Amino acid sequence: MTKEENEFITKLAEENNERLTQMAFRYTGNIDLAEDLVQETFLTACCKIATISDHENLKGWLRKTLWNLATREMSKAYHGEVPLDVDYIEGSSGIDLPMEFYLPKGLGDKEREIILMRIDKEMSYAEIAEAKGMKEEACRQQLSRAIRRCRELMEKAENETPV
Amino acid sequence: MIKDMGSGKTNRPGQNTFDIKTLEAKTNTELLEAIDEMLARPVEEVDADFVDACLDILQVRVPVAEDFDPQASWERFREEHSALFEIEEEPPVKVAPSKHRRAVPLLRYAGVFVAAMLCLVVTANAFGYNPIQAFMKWVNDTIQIYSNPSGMMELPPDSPSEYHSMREALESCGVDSADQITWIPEDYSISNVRVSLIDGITKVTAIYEAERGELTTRILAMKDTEWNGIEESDLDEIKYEHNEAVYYITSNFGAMKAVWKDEKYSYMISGQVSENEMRKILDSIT
Amino acid sequence: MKKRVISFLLAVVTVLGVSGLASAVETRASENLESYYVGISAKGNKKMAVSVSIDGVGEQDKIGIQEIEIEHKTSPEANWAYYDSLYGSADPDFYAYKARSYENVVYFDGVPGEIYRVTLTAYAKKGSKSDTGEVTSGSATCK
Repeated sequence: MTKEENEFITKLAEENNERLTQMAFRYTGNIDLAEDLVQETFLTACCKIATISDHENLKGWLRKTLWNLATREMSKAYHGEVPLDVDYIEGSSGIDLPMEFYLPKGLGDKEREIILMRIDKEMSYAEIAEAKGMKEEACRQQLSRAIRRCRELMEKAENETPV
Repeated sequence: MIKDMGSGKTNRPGQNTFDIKTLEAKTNTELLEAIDEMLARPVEEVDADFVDACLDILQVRVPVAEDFDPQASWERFREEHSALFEIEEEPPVKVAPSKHRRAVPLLRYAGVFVAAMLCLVVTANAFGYNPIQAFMKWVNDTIQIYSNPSGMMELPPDSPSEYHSMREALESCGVDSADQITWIPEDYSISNVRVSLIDGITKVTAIYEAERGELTTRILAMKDTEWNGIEESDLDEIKYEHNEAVYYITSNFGAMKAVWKDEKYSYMISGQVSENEMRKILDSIT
Repeated sequence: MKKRVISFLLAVVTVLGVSGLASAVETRASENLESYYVGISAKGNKKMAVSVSIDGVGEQDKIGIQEIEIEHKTSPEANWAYYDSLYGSADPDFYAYKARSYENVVYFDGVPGEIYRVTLTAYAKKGSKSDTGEVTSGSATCK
Protein backbone atom coordinates (compact mmCIF):
# COMPACT_ATOMS: atom_id res chain seq x y z
CA MET A 1 0.00 0.00 0.00
CA THR A 2 1.30 3.50 -0.74
CA LYS A 3 1.45 6.19 1.93
CA GLU A 4 -1.59 7.93 0.42
CA GLU A 5 -3.60 4.71 0.36
CA ASN A 6 -2.59 4.04 3.96
CA GLU A 7 -3.82 7.45 5.05
CA PHE A 8 -6.99 7.04 2.98
CA ILE A 9 -7.97 3.74 4.56
CA THR A 10 -7.08 4.91 8.07
CA LYS A 11 -9.31 7.97 7.68
CA LEU A 12 -12.10 5.77 6.29
CA ALA A 13 -11.88 3.58 9.38
CA GLU A 14 -11.82 6.54 11.79
CA GLU A 15 -14.97 7.96 10.22
CA ASN A 16 -16.94 4.74 9.91
CA ASN A 17 -15.70 2.02 12.27
CA GLU A 18 -17.94 2.82 15.23
CA ARG A 19 -21.17 3.21 13.27
CA LEU A 20 -20.50 0.13 11.14
CA THR A 21 -19.89 -1.93 14.27
CA GLN A 22 -23.16 -0.75 15.77
CA MET A 23 -24.93 -1.72 12.55
CA ALA A 24 -23.26 -5.14 12.49
CA PHE A 25 -24.22 -5.72 16.12
CA ARG A 26 -27.88 -5.08 15.35
CA TYR A 27 -27.70 -7.85 12.75
CA THR A 28 -25.72 -10.39 14.75
CA GLY A 29 -26.31 -9.65 18.44
CA ASN A 30 -22.67 -10.49 19.15
CA ILE A 31 -19.92 -7.90 19.50
CA ASP A 32 -17.06 -10.23 18.48
CA LEU A 33 -18.88 -11.35 15.35
CA ALA A 34 -19.83 -7.74 14.60
CA GLU A 35 -16.18 -6.67 14.87
CA ASP A 36 -15.12 -9.57 12.61
CA LEU A 37 -17.61 -8.55 9.94
CA VAL A 38 -16.54 -4.90 10.04
CA GLN A 39 -12.89 -5.91 9.79
CA GLU A 40 -13.75 -8.13 6.83
CA THR A 41 -15.39 -5.08 5.23
CA PHE A 42 -12.24 -3.01 5.68
CA LEU A 43 -10.12 -5.89 4.43
CA THR A 44 -12.21 -5.91 1.26
CA ALA A 45 -11.70 -2.15 1.02
CA CYS A 46 -7.92 -2.59 1.35
CA CYS A 47 -7.86 -5.23 -1.37
CA LYS A 48 -9.95 -3.07 -3.70
CA ILE A 49 -8.40 0.24 -2.73
CA ALA A 50 -7.46 1.14 -6.26
CA THR A 51 -11.09 0.94 -7.42
CA ILE A 52 -12.86 2.37 -4.38
CA SER A 53 -10.60 5.32 -3.67
CA ASP A 54 -12.52 7.43 -6.18
CA HIS A 55 -15.87 5.65 -5.78
CA GLU A 56 -18.78 8.05 -6.24
CA ASN A 57 -20.64 6.55 -3.25
CA LEU A 58 -17.94 5.20 -0.97
CA LYS A 59 -20.01 5.43 2.23
CA GLY A 60 -22.82 3.56 0.50
CA TRP A 61 -20.35 0.93 -0.75
CA LEU A 62 -19.03 0.38 2.79
CA ARG A 63 -22.47 -0.04 4.30
CA LYS A 64 -23.70 -2.29 1.51
CA THR A 65 -20.60 -4.48 1.71
CA LEU A 66 -21.06 -4.90 5.46
CA TRP A 67 -24.78 -5.59 5.01
CA ASN A 68 -24.00 -8.30 2.42
CA LEU A 69 -21.55 -9.93 4.82
CA ALA A 70 -23.92 -9.70 7.79
CA THR A 71 -26.97 -11.07 5.99
CA ARG A 72 -24.91 -13.86 4.46
CA GLU A 73 -23.53 -14.68 7.91
CA MET A 74 -27.00 -14.79 9.41
CA SER A 75 -28.37 -16.99 6.66
CA LYS A 76 -25.48 -19.42 7.16
CA ALA A 77 -25.65 -19.32 10.95
CA TYR A 78 -26.73 -22.48 12.65
CA HIS A 79 -30.06 -22.49 14.34
CA GLY A 80 -28.37 -24.00 17.37
CA GLU A 81 -30.56 -25.15 20.16
CA VAL A 82 -33.96 -23.77 19.36
CA PRO A 83 -35.07 -22.66 22.78
CA LEU A 84 -37.62 -25.13 24.03
CA ASP A 85 -40.95 -23.57 24.72
CA VAL A 86 -41.66 -24.11 28.35
CA ASP A 87 -44.55 -26.36 29.31
CA TYR A 88 -46.22 -24.39 32.02
CA ILE A 89 -47.63 -26.33 34.88
CA GLU A 90 -51.05 -25.17 35.88
CA GLY A 91 -51.45 -23.79 39.37
CA SER A 92 -48.74 -22.78 41.79
CA SER A 93 -47.98 -23.08 45.44
CA GLY A 94 -45.39 -21.86 47.84
CA ILE A 95 -43.44 -18.64 47.76
CA ASP A 96 -42.43 -17.40 44.34
CA LEU A 97 -38.91 -16.11 43.93
CA PRO A 98 -37.93 -13.99 40.94
CA MET A 99 -36.64 -16.11 38.05
CA GLU A 100 -33.34 -14.31 38.27
CA PHE A 101 -32.75 -16.18 41.50
CA TYR A 102 -32.62 -19.48 39.66
CA LEU A 103 -30.26 -18.47 36.86
CA PRO A 104 -26.68 -19.62 37.41
CA LYS A 105 -23.99 -17.18 38.49
CA GLY A 106 -21.57 -16.33 35.73
CA LEU A 107 -24.17 -15.36 33.15
CA GLY A 108 -23.51 -11.94 31.64
CA ASP A 109 -25.99 -9.08 31.95
CA LYS A 110 -27.10 -9.34 28.33
CA GLU A 111 -27.48 -13.12 28.66
CA ARG A 112 -29.66 -12.76 31.75
CA GLU A 113 -31.65 -10.00 30.15
CA ILE A 114 -32.63 -11.93 27.06
CA ILE A 115 -33.44 -15.13 28.97
CA LEU A 116 -35.70 -13.16 31.31
CA MET A 117 -37.37 -11.40 28.38
CA ARG A 118 -38.16 -14.66 26.63
CA ILE A 119 -38.83 -17.06 29.50
CA ASP A 120 -40.00 -14.82 32.33
CA LYS A 121 -41.77 -12.00 30.51
CA GLU A 122 -42.86 -14.37 27.69
CA MET A 123 -42.01 -11.83 25.03
CA SER A 124 -42.09 -12.96 21.40
CA TYR A 125 -38.94 -12.65 19.29
CA ALA A 126 -40.54 -9.76 17.41
CA GLU A 127 -41.12 -7.94 20.71
CA ILE A 128 -37.59 -8.65 21.90
CA ALA A 129 -36.17 -7.42 18.57
CA GLU A 130 -38.17 -4.20 18.87
CA ALA A 131 -37.10 -3.67 22.48
CA LYS A 132 -33.42 -4.30 21.77
CA GLY A 133 -33.32 -2.56 18.36
CA MET A 134 -31.90 -5.70 16.73
CA LYS A 135 -32.92 -8.03 13.93
CA GLU A 136 -35.18 -10.89 15.06
CA GLU A 137 -32.68 -13.49 13.86
CA ALA A 138 -29.97 -11.81 15.93
CA CYS A 139 -32.21 -12.12 18.99
CA ARG A 140 -32.74 -15.84 18.35
CA GLN A 141 -28.99 -16.32 18.07
CA GLN A 142 -28.35 -14.31 21.21
CA LEU A 143 -30.92 -16.31 23.20
CA SER A 144 -29.56 -19.58 21.86
CA ARG A 145 -26.03 -18.58 22.96
CA ALA A 146 -27.34 -17.45 26.37
CA ILE A 147 -29.11 -20.76 26.96
CA ARG A 148 -26.02 -22.68 25.88
CA ARG A 149 -23.97 -20.64 28.36
CA CYS A 150 -26.58 -21.38 31.01
CA ARG A 151 -26.20 -25.11 30.35
CA GLU A 152 -22.42 -24.93 30.50
CA LEU A 153 -22.55 -23.16 33.86
CA MET A 154 -25.14 -25.57 35.26
CA GLU A 155 -23.17 -28.63 34.20
CA LYS A 156 -20.01 -27.14 35.65
CA ALA A 157 -21.84 -26.49 38.94
CA GLU A 158 -23.19 -30.05 38.88
CA ASN A 159 -19.72 -31.52 38.38
CA GLU A 160 -18.27 -29.38 41.15
CA THR A 161 -21.02 -30.23 43.67
CA PRO A 162 -19.50 -32.57 46.23
CA VAL A 163 -21.25 -35.97 46.39
CA MET B 1 -25.19 18.57 0.69
CA ILE B 2 -27.86 21.13 1.46
CA LYS B 3 -29.74 20.70 4.71
CA ASP B 4 -33.00 22.51 5.25
CA MET B 5 -32.88 23.14 9.03
CA GLY B 6 -36.55 24.06 9.18
CA SER B 7 -38.14 20.92 7.80
CA GLY B 8 -35.40 18.47 8.76
CA LYS B 9 -35.15 17.35 5.14
CA THR B 10 -31.81 16.38 3.73
CA ASN B 11 -31.05 16.85 0.08
CA ARG B 12 -28.12 15.50 -1.83
CA PRO B 13 -27.92 15.87 -5.57
CA GLY B 14 -28.76 12.51 -7.13
CA GLN B 15 -29.71 10.99 -3.74
CA ASN B 16 -33.08 10.25 -2.15
CA THR B 17 -34.61 12.75 0.23
CA PHE B 18 -35.73 11.74 3.68
CA ASP B 19 -37.45 13.45 6.56
CA ILE B 20 -35.85 13.00 9.97
CA LYS B 21 -39.16 13.47 11.75
CA THR B 22 -40.70 10.66 9.68
CA LEU B 23 -37.83 8.39 10.64
CA GLU B 24 -38.16 9.30 14.30
CA ALA B 25 -41.82 8.25 14.20
CA LYS B 26 -40.87 4.73 13.08
CA THR B 27 -40.51 1.85 15.51
CA ASN B 28 -37.14 0.17 15.93
CA THR B 29 -38.23 -2.76 13.78
CA GLU B 30 -39.43 -0.39 11.05
CA LEU B 31 -36.09 1.42 11.11
CA LEU B 32 -34.20 -1.85 10.68
CA GLU B 33 -36.51 -2.83 7.82
CA ALA B 34 -35.91 0.57 6.20
CA ILE B 35 -32.15 -0.02 6.45
CA ASP B 36 -32.58 -3.45 4.83
CA GLU B 37 -34.65 -1.99 2.03
CA MET B 38 -32.09 0.76 1.35
CA LEU B 39 -29.08 -1.56 1.39
CA ALA B 40 -30.78 -4.10 -0.88
CA ARG B 41 -30.59 -1.49 -3.68
CA PRO B 42 -27.65 -1.30 -6.12
CA VAL B 43 -24.75 0.53 -4.52
CA GLU B 44 -25.15 3.64 -6.67
CA GLU B 45 -28.69 4.08 -5.29
CA VAL B 46 -27.78 3.59 -1.62
CA ASP B 47 -28.28 6.70 0.49
CA ALA B 48 -25.67 6.30 3.21
CA ASP B 49 -26.96 9.34 5.09
CA PHE B 50 -30.38 7.69 5.34
CA VAL B 51 -28.82 4.53 6.74
CA ASP B 52 -26.77 6.55 9.21
CA ALA B 53 -29.79 8.57 10.30
CA CYS B 54 -31.69 5.34 11.07
CA LEU B 55 -28.70 3.94 12.96
CA ASP B 56 -28.29 7.15 14.96
CA ILE B 57 -31.94 7.13 16.02
CA LEU B 58 -31.63 3.47 17.07
CA GLN B 59 -28.47 4.22 18.99
CA VAL B 60 -30.20 6.96 20.99
CA ARG B 61 -33.16 4.72 21.79
CA VAL B 62 -31.35 1.41 22.34
CA PRO B 63 -27.61 1.89 22.59
CA VAL B 64 -25.49 -1.11 21.52
CA ALA B 65 -21.78 -1.88 21.50
CA GLU B 66 -21.18 0.84 24.07
CA ASP B 67 -17.97 -0.76 25.30
CA PHE B 68 -16.59 -1.05 21.78
CA ASP B 69 -13.28 0.80 21.34
CA PRO B 70 -12.91 1.64 17.63
CA GLN B 71 -9.29 2.76 18.05
CA ALA B 72 -8.25 -0.49 19.72
CA SER B 73 -10.18 -2.48 17.12
CA TRP B 74 -8.37 -0.69 14.28
CA GLU B 75 -5.01 -1.32 15.96
CA ARG B 76 -5.86 -5.04 16.12
CA PHE B 77 -6.80 -4.99 12.45
CA ARG B 78 -3.54 -3.31 11.46
CA GLU B 79 -1.54 -5.80 13.52
CA GLU B 80 -3.31 -8.78 12.00
CA HIS B 81 -2.83 -7.47 8.46
CA SER B 82 0.48 -5.67 8.93
CA ALA B 83 1.73 -6.82 5.52
CA LEU B 84 -1.05 -4.86 3.86
CA PHE B 85 -0.01 -1.65 5.54
CA GLU B 86 3.68 -1.78 4.67
CA ILE B 87 4.46 1.39 2.80
CA GLU B 88 5.50 0.59 -0.76
CA GLU B 89 8.24 2.76 -2.19
CA GLU B 90 6.90 4.71 -5.12
CA PRO B 91 8.56 3.33 -8.21
CA PRO B 92 10.86 5.95 -9.75
CA VAL B 93 9.11 7.76 -12.48
CA LYS B 94 10.72 6.77 -15.71
CA VAL B 95 11.07 9.57 -18.14
CA ALA B 96 10.45 8.13 -21.57
CA PRO B 97 13.10 9.40 -23.93
CA SER B 98 11.87 11.34 -26.89
CA LYS B 99 10.96 9.32 -29.94
CA HIS B 100 13.95 10.55 -31.84
CA ARG B 101 16.34 9.54 -29.08
CA ARG B 102 14.67 6.10 -28.75
CA ALA B 103 14.82 5.26 -32.44
CA VAL B 104 18.57 5.75 -32.89
CA PRO B 105 19.81 3.31 -30.18
CA LEU B 106 17.22 0.73 -31.24
CA LEU B 107 18.39 0.73 -34.80
CA ARG B 108 21.99 0.52 -33.67
CA TYR B 109 21.29 -2.51 -31.43
CA ALA B 110 19.29 -4.25 -34.14
CA GLY B 111 22.11 -3.83 -36.54
CA VAL B 112 24.65 -5.26 -34.13
CA PHE B 113 22.39 -8.25 -33.44
CA VAL B 114 21.88 -9.09 -37.12
CA ALA B 115 25.60 -8.82 -37.77
CA ALA B 116 26.37 -11.12 -34.84
CA MET B 117 23.80 -13.75 -35.97
CA LEU B 118 25.21 -13.69 -39.49
CA CYS B 119 28.71 -14.29 -38.19
CA LEU B 120 27.45 -17.13 -36.05
CA VAL B 121 25.65 -18.84 -38.92
CA VAL B 122 28.56 -18.49 -41.29
CA THR B 123 31.02 -19.77 -38.69
CA ALA B 124 28.79 -22.68 -37.70
CA ASN B 125 28.27 -23.67 -41.32
CA ALA B 126 32.02 -23.65 -41.80
CA PHE B 127 32.21 -26.30 -39.10
CA GLY B 128 29.41 -28.38 -40.70
CA TYR B 129 26.67 -27.34 -38.27
CA ASN B 130 23.46 -25.64 -39.38
CA PRO B 131 22.20 -23.51 -36.47
CA ILE B 132 18.99 -22.55 -38.23
CA GLN B 133 17.96 -26.16 -38.69
CA ALA B 134 18.85 -26.87 -35.07
CA PHE B 135 16.66 -24.00 -33.90
CA MET B 136 13.66 -25.28 -35.86
CA LYS B 137 14.10 -28.72 -34.37
CA TRP B 138 14.21 -27.23 -30.90
CA VAL B 139 10.98 -25.39 -31.61
CA ASN B 140 9.27 -28.59 -32.68
CA ASP B 141 10.61 -30.55 -29.73
CA THR B 142 10.05 -27.95 -27.07
CA ILE B 143 6.85 -26.13 -27.90
CA GLN B 144 3.85 -28.41 -27.31
CA ILE B 145 0.42 -27.57 -28.53
CA TYR B 146 -1.90 -27.23 -25.50
CA SER B 147 -4.65 -29.82 -25.79
CA ASN B 148 -6.13 -29.85 -22.26
CA PRO B 149 -7.09 -33.49 -21.97
CA SER B 150 -9.45 -34.61 -19.20
CA GLY B 151 -8.71 -37.05 -16.45
CA MET B 152 -10.34 -40.46 -16.53
CA MET B 153 -14.07 -40.24 -15.87
CA GLU B 154 -15.07 -43.82 -16.61
CA LEU B 155 -13.99 -47.07 -14.96
CA PRO B 156 -12.84 -49.88 -17.24
CA PRO B 157 -15.65 -52.21 -18.40
CA ASP B 158 -14.21 -55.11 -16.42
CA SER B 159 -14.28 -53.12 -13.17
CA PRO B 160 -16.37 -54.90 -10.50
CA SER B 161 -18.09 -51.60 -9.59
CA GLU B 162 -21.86 -51.52 -10.14
CA TYR B 163 -21.57 -48.16 -11.92
CA HIS B 164 -18.66 -47.21 -14.15
CA SER B 165 -19.32 -43.52 -14.44
CA MET B 166 -21.48 -40.74 -13.06
CA ARG B 167 -23.42 -40.74 -16.33
CA GLU B 168 -24.25 -44.43 -16.06
CA ALA B 169 -25.32 -44.04 -12.43
CA LEU B 170 -27.58 -41.09 -13.24
CA GLU B 171 -29.20 -42.95 -16.13
CA SER B 172 -29.90 -45.96 -13.93
CA CYS B 173 -31.72 -43.71 -11.42
CA GLY B 174 -33.79 -42.12 -14.15
CA VAL B 175 -31.95 -38.84 -13.61
CA ASP B 176 -31.25 -37.82 -17.15
CA SER B 177 -31.86 -34.09 -16.90
CA ALA B 178 -29.16 -33.32 -14.33
CA ASP B 179 -26.06 -31.23 -15.08
CA GLN B 180 -23.06 -33.42 -15.86
CA ILE B 181 -19.40 -32.44 -15.90
CA THR B 182 -17.36 -33.65 -18.86
CA TRP B 183 -13.86 -32.57 -17.82
CA ILE B 184 -11.69 -33.04 -14.74
CA PRO B 185 -7.98 -32.24 -14.31
CA GLU B 186 -5.78 -34.68 -16.18
CA ASP B 187 -4.18 -36.25 -13.14
CA TYR B 188 -7.48 -37.40 -11.65
CA SER B 189 -9.06 -40.83 -12.27
CA ILE B 190 -12.44 -42.09 -11.20
CA SER B 191 -12.29 -44.52 -8.29
CA ASN B 192 -15.87 -44.96 -7.10
CA VAL B 193 -19.47 -44.19 -7.99
CA ARG B 194 -22.15 -44.53 -5.35
CA VAL B 195 -25.92 -44.32 -5.64
CA SER B 196 -28.31 -43.91 -2.73
CA LEU B 197 -32.06 -44.28 -3.32
CA ILE B 198 -34.21 -44.11 -0.19
CA ASP B 199 -37.88 -43.18 -0.28
CA GLY B 200 -37.62 -39.96 -2.21
CA ILE B 201 -33.89 -39.27 -1.74
CA THR B 202 -31.77 -39.68 -4.87
CA LYS B 203 -28.06 -39.13 -4.32
CA VAL B 204 -25.29 -39.95 -6.78
CA THR B 205 -21.68 -39.41 -5.73
CA ALA B 206 -18.48 -39.96 -7.75
CA ILE B 207 -15.00 -39.89 -6.27
CA TYR B 208 -11.90 -39.20 -8.34
CA GLU B 209 -8.38 -39.67 -7.02
CA ALA B 210 -4.98 -38.19 -7.79
CA GLU B 211 -1.65 -37.97 -6.00
CA ARG B 212 -2.58 -34.53 -4.72
CA GLY B 213 -5.87 -35.73 -3.19
CA GLU B 214 -9.52 -36.41 -3.97
CA LEU B 215 -12.24 -34.78 -6.01
CA THR B 216 -15.89 -35.50 -5.21
CA THR B 217 -18.96 -34.68 -7.28
CA ARG B 218 -22.43 -35.07 -5.85
CA ILE B 219 -25.97 -34.67 -7.14
CA LEU B 220 -28.83 -34.71 -4.63
CA ALA B 221 -32.59 -34.61 -5.00
CA MET B 222 -35.33 -34.95 -2.38
CA LYS B 223 -38.52 -35.58 -4.32
CA ASP B 224 -41.81 -34.00 -3.18
CA THR B 225 -40.07 -32.68 -0.08
CA GLU B 226 -39.62 -29.24 1.47
CA TRP B 227 -35.89 -29.31 1.99
CA ASN B 228 -33.01 -27.06 2.95
CA GLY B 229 -29.30 -27.64 3.13
CA ILE B 230 -26.03 -26.24 4.37
CA GLU B 231 -22.75 -26.46 2.43
CA GLU B 232 -19.83 -25.86 4.76
CA SER B 233 -17.41 -23.24 3.53
CA ASP B 234 -14.75 -21.01 4.95
CA LEU B 235 -14.64 -18.33 2.28
CA ASP B 236 -17.10 -15.89 0.86
CA GLU B 237 -18.56 -17.36 -2.28
CA ILE B 238 -17.47 -16.15 -5.68
CA LYS B 239 -20.39 -16.02 -8.07
CA TYR B 240 -19.40 -17.54 -11.41
CA GLU B 241 -21.72 -17.35 -14.39
CA HIS B 242 -21.36 -19.48 -17.49
CA ASN B 243 -23.83 -20.46 -20.19
CA GLU B 244 -26.68 -18.79 -18.32
CA ALA B 245 -26.03 -20.86 -15.20
CA VAL B 246 -24.88 -19.43 -11.86
CA TYR B 247 -22.35 -21.29 -9.74
CA TYR B 248 -20.85 -20.40 -6.38
CA ILE B 249 -17.16 -21.13 -5.85
CA THR B 250 -15.83 -21.27 -2.31
CA SER B 251 -13.66 -23.59 -0.22
CA ASN B 252 -13.83 -25.72 2.91
CA PHE B 253 -10.68 -26.37 4.89
CA GLY B 254 -8.32 -26.16 1.97
CA ALA B 255 -10.50 -27.96 -0.57
CA MET B 256 -11.96 -25.90 -3.41
CA LYS B 257 -15.72 -26.21 -3.66
CA ALA B 258 -18.46 -25.28 -6.10
CA VAL B 259 -22.17 -25.48 -5.33
CA TRP B 260 -25.28 -24.71 -7.32
CA LYS B 261 -28.84 -25.86 -7.72
CA ASP B 262 -31.61 -26.00 -10.25
CA GLU B 263 -35.32 -26.78 -9.95
CA LYS B 264 -34.77 -30.42 -9.13
CA TYR B 265 -31.24 -30.97 -7.89
CA SER B 266 -28.54 -29.67 -5.59
CA TYR B 267 -24.97 -30.05 -6.90
CA MET B 268 -21.57 -30.00 -5.25
CA ILE B 269 -18.01 -30.43 -6.45
CA SER B 270 -15.29 -30.46 -3.82
CA GLY B 271 -11.62 -31.38 -3.86
CA GLN B 272 -7.96 -30.57 -4.26
CA VAL B 273 -8.11 -28.42 -7.38
CA SER B 274 -7.26 -24.79 -8.03
CA GLU B 275 -9.88 -22.14 -8.61
CA ASN B 276 -8.99 -22.07 -12.31
CA GLU B 277 -9.39 -25.82 -12.58
CA MET B 278 -12.74 -25.56 -10.82
CA ARG B 279 -13.88 -22.99 -13.39
CA LYS B 280 -12.80 -25.33 -16.20
CA ILE B 281 -14.77 -28.16 -14.61
CA LEU B 282 -17.84 -25.92 -14.45
CA ASP B 283 -17.29 -24.77 -18.04
CA SER B 284 -17.44 -28.40 -19.15
CA ILE B 285 -20.99 -28.92 -17.84
CA THR B 286 -23.53 -30.13 -20.36
CA MET C 1 -43.67 -18.55 38.69
CA LYS C 2 -41.55 -21.05 40.61
CA LYS C 3 -42.97 -23.99 38.67
CA ARG C 4 -42.46 -22.17 35.36
CA VAL C 5 -38.84 -21.54 36.27
CA ILE C 6 -38.34 -25.15 37.33
CA SER C 7 -39.84 -26.35 34.06
CA PHE C 8 -37.38 -24.22 32.09
CA LEU C 9 -34.41 -25.36 34.12
CA LEU C 10 -35.56 -28.99 33.89
CA ALA C 11 -35.74 -28.64 30.13
CA VAL C 12 -32.21 -27.26 30.08
CA VAL C 13 -30.88 -30.04 32.30
CA THR C 14 -32.70 -32.79 30.36
CA VAL C 15 -31.17 -31.74 27.07
CA LEU C 16 -27.80 -31.51 28.82
CA GLY C 17 -28.19 -35.06 30.07
CA VAL C 18 -29.25 -36.56 26.77
CA SER C 19 -27.17 -34.82 24.18
CA GLY C 20 -24.32 -33.33 26.16
CA LEU C 21 -22.84 -29.95 25.67
CA ALA C 22 -23.37 -28.55 22.23
CA SER C 23 -20.24 -27.83 20.27
CA ALA C 24 -19.56 -24.29 19.20
CA VAL C 25 -21.95 -23.28 16.49
CA GLU C 26 -20.34 -20.16 15.21
CA THR C 27 -17.55 -21.67 13.11
CA ARG C 28 -18.06 -21.18 9.43
CA ALA C 29 -16.08 -24.14 8.13
CA SER C 30 -15.92 -27.74 9.22
CA GLU C 31 -13.14 -30.27 9.20
CA ASN C 32 -15.64 -33.11 9.46
CA LEU C 33 -18.86 -32.05 7.76
CA GLU C 34 -19.04 -31.20 4.06
CA SER C 35 -22.79 -30.66 3.75
CA TYR C 36 -26.09 -31.63 5.32
CA TYR C 37 -29.64 -31.51 4.01
CA VAL C 38 -33.00 -32.11 5.64
CA GLY C 39 -36.45 -32.26 4.12
CA ILE C 40 -39.98 -32.94 5.36
CA SER C 41 -43.00 -34.31 3.55
CA ALA C 42 -46.47 -35.58 4.46
CA LYS C 43 -47.04 -39.19 3.52
CA GLY C 44 -50.69 -39.42 4.45
CA ASN C 45 -52.36 -41.37 7.23
CA LYS C 46 -50.77 -38.97 9.78
CA LYS C 47 -47.30 -40.07 8.77
CA MET C 48 -44.58 -37.44 8.25
CA ALA C 49 -41.26 -38.30 6.60
CA VAL C 50 -37.96 -36.56 7.43
CA SER C 51 -35.32 -37.04 4.70
CA VAL C 52 -31.71 -36.61 5.74
CA SER C 53 -28.52 -36.46 3.68
CA ILE C 54 -25.15 -35.80 5.34
CA ASP C 55 -21.75 -35.76 3.62
CA GLY C 56 -18.49 -35.89 5.53
CA VAL C 57 -15.11 -34.48 4.53
CA GLY C 58 -13.74 -37.81 3.37
CA GLU C 59 -14.43 -40.95 5.36
CA GLN C 60 -15.58 -40.38 8.94
CA ASP C 61 -15.42 -42.81 11.84
CA LYS C 62 -19.01 -41.94 12.73
CA ILE C 63 -21.51 -39.83 10.79
CA GLY C 64 -25.23 -39.28 11.09
CA ILE C 65 -28.07 -37.70 13.03
CA GLN C 66 -27.44 -36.39 16.52
CA GLU C 67 -30.92 -34.93 16.87
CA ILE C 68 -34.04 -34.10 14.91
CA GLU C 69 -36.12 -31.47 16.63
CA ILE C 70 -39.73 -31.26 15.45
CA GLU C 71 -41.79 -28.09 15.67
CA HIS C 72 -45.42 -27.61 14.79
CA LYS C 73 -48.09 -24.97 14.49
CA THR C 74 -51.82 -25.15 14.17
CA SER C 75 -52.16 -22.53 11.43
CA PRO C 76 -49.90 -20.51 9.11
CA GLU C 77 -50.35 -17.44 11.32
CA ALA C 78 -49.51 -19.19 14.58
CA ASN C 79 -46.04 -19.28 16.14
CA TRP C 80 -43.88 -22.37 15.94
CA ALA C 81 -43.95 -24.52 19.06
CA TYR C 82 -41.83 -27.45 20.15
CA TYR C 83 -43.39 -30.85 19.38
CA ASP C 84 -40.85 -33.63 19.87
CA SER C 85 -37.21 -34.64 19.50
CA LEU C 86 -35.61 -37.76 18.05
CA TYR C 87 -32.14 -38.55 19.37
CA GLY C 88 -29.28 -40.44 17.80
CA SER C 89 -28.36 -41.84 21.19
CA ALA C 90 -31.69 -43.71 21.23
CA ASP C 91 -31.62 -45.17 17.71
CA PRO C 92 -28.68 -47.11 16.26
CA ASP C 93 -29.92 -46.45 12.71
CA PHE C 94 -29.17 -42.78 13.15
CA TYR C 95 -25.47 -43.30 12.54
CA ALA C 96 -23.17 -44.91 9.98
CA TYR C 97 -19.62 -45.95 10.83
CA LYS C 98 -16.49 -45.71 8.70
CA ALA C 99 -18.52 -43.97 6.03
CA ARG C 100 -18.28 -40.90 3.82
CA SER C 101 -21.97 -40.08 3.94
CA TYR C 102 -25.27 -40.89 5.57
CA GLU C 103 -28.75 -40.93 4.11
CA ASN C 104 -31.97 -41.93 5.79
CA VAL C 105 -35.67 -41.24 6.00
CA VAL C 106 -37.17 -41.08 9.49
CA TYR C 107 -40.89 -41.09 10.19
CA PHE C 108 -43.06 -39.66 12.91
CA ASP C 109 -46.82 -39.30 13.44
CA GLY C 110 -48.35 -35.87 13.30
CA VAL C 111 -51.81 -34.40 13.68
CA PRO C 112 -53.65 -33.95 10.37
CA GLY C 113 -54.03 -30.30 9.47
CA GLU C 114 -51.08 -29.16 11.57
CA ILE C 115 -47.93 -27.76 9.98
CA TYR C 116 -44.51 -29.24 10.80
CA ARG C 117 -40.86 -28.39 10.29
CA VAL C 118 -37.72 -30.09 11.56
CA THR C 119 -34.23 -29.00 12.56
CA LEU C 120 -31.50 -31.52 11.91
CA THR C 121 -28.34 -31.61 14.02
CA ALA C 122 -25.83 -33.45 11.83
CA TYR C 123 -22.80 -35.08 13.44
CA ALA C 124 -19.49 -36.40 12.14
CA LYS C 125 -16.39 -37.63 13.95
CA LYS C 126 -12.95 -38.69 12.80
CA GLY C 127 -10.30 -39.57 15.32
CA SER C 128 -10.60 -37.15 18.19
CA LYS C 129 -12.23 -34.41 16.15
CA SER C 130 -15.97 -34.11 15.76
CA ASP C 131 -18.38 -31.47 14.61
CA THR C 132 -22.09 -30.75 14.46
CA GLY C 133 -24.17 -28.53 12.25
CA GLU C 134 -27.84 -27.51 12.23
CA VAL C 135 -30.24 -26.90 9.36
CA THR C 136 -34.01 -26.40 9.36
CA SER C 137 -36.34 -27.78 6.70
CA GLY C 138 -39.19 -26.05 4.98
CA SER C 139 -42.67 -26.79 6.34
CA ALA C 140 -45.28 -29.39 5.40
CA THR C 141 -48.87 -29.96 6.47
CA CYS C 142 -49.77 -33.31 7.93
CA LYS C 143 -52.58 -35.14 6.13
